[in-house]
Amino acid sequence: MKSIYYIFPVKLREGLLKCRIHMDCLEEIRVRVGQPLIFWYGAKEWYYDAHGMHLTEQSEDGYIMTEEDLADMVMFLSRYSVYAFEEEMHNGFVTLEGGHRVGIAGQVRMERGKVADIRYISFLNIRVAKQKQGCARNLLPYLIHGKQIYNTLLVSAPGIGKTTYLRDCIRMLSDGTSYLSGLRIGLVDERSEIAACYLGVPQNDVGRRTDVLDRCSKSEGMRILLRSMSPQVIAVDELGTEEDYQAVEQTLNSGSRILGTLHAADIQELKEKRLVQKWLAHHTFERYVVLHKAESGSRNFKIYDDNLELLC
Amino acid sequence: MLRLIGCLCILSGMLGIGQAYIYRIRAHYRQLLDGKELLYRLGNEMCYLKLPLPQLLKRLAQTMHAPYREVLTDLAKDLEAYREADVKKLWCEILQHHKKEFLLNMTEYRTLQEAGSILTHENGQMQEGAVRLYCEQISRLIEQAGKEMENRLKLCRYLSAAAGIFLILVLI
Repeated sequence: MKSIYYIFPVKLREGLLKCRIHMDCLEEIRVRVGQPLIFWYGAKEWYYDAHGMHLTEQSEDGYIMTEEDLADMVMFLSRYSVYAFEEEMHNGFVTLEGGHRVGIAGQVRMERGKVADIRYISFLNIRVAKQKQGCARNLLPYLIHGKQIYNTLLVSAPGIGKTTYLRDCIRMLSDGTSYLSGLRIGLVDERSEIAACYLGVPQNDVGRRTDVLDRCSKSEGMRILLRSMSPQVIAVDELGTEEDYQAVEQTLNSGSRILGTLHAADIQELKEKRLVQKWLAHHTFERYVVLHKAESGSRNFKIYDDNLELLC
Repeated sequence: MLRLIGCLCILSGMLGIGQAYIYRIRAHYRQLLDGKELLYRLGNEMCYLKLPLPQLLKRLAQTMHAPYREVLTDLAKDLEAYREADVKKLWCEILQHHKKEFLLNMTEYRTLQEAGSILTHENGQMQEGAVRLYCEQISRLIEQAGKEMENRLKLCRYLSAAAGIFLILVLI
C-alpha cells in the first residue's frame, strides 16, 4: 500500500499514515479539486480530517483538496515522468505498483477524434487492487478436458466479476492443480486490468507459467503470442469485435485453447449477440459460464455446453 | 652537484604546479563537454525510451563521469523517495550540494541549473525544444572555453617554467 501513500502530497502523507485506514476494506479513494478527500469503503464514505489526522464521517471536517495538491499527485503517480505515461493518461488511467489503478479526469483535448491530451487534471479515482484468489476454485473442474481445457467464455453483466474470475482461472491453470498440470498461458491484457502490469511486471498473481502482453489490442496480441510464446491457452478479456472473431479462429487453428470473457446479462442476451451466433454455429466454444450476483452479494454460476444446453 | 639537484627539484616542482593548473583547465573543458552530452542523452532517452525518470537517471549515471554521476544518482534517490514534487528544485539543490566538485564558472553553472527544466516538461516536443535550447547555450560556452583554453595552457606552461627559473636565480 506504500505506492498509494506516496502519490499523496508530502504534507498529507504523515497524517494519512497515522490514520487507521483499513486497506482490506477500502475500495476507492476519491480526489477532487475543491472537494473533501473521500475514502470509500463500499457502503460508507469517510473523510480525511487533516487537523486531527484521522478519518471522520463529517464531510465538513474533511480536508479540501487544492489544485496544487492535484498537481503534486499527478507528478508523483507518474513518477515525475508524465511524458512516459502519456499513452496511459490518454486512456484515462495509470497503474501503480501493486496493481492499484488511478483513474484520471479533467479537460480533454481531442484531435482527429482521439484523445490528444488531458489537461487540468482535477479528478482522481484511486481503486485499491484486490485479488480474490480461490474464487474460481469451484468453477475450474468444469472447464478441464483431459490435460487441457474446453474453449470457454465467461459471461456476465458489468461489475459481476468476470475479470476477477478470469484472473483466478488463469492463475490456477498456470500454476496447476492436483488434477491438472500447469499450462502455458498467453494473456492479452488490453486494458491492463488482469495482470495490472507495472513497468512490464504483473502486479497481480497470474501464475508462474503465464506470459503477458500488456496494453496490446486483443486481435494483434493473440497473433503475437501464437507466433512467439507457444501458449497452450490464450486468455483474453471482453471479446466482441469482428477482429476478435478472426483472431479466435486463428488461435483455434493453431491448436491453442481460448479462455475469454464477454458482456451479457443472461443467456438470452448472449444468444442475441451476432458474434456468439457465429460461434454457436461452429461450436467454437465448448463451455459458456454465466455469472450471477445473488442478493446476498455472493457470486454463483451456471455452465452451458456448446449448444447452450445447461450442464449445471 | 647539490646545487644542480636543488635547481632540478625547484624547476620540477614549479612545472608540477603548472601541470596541476593545466589538468584543472582541461577538466573544466571536459565537464562542459560532459554536460552537453548529459543533456542530449537525457533528452533523447526521455523522448524515445520513455522510461520513468528515476530509472532513466540511474541508467545514465552508470556511464557518466564524476561529478555528473553523483548528481544523477542522488537525484534518482530523492525522486524514488518522493521527497518533493518540483523536480527542478531538487535538481538545483543537488547541484548546489555538489558545487565544489564542479570546475564551472558562474555563467556555466547557472546554465546547468536552468537546464534542469528539461526534466519538468510533460511531452516529447517540449522536451526536444528545451534540449536544443540548452545544448546551444552550452555549445557556445564550450566554444568560448575552447578558444581561451589554448592561451591559458600556454600561459600555465611558460609561467610555471619562468617561476621555476626565477626561484632558482633568487635562491642560488
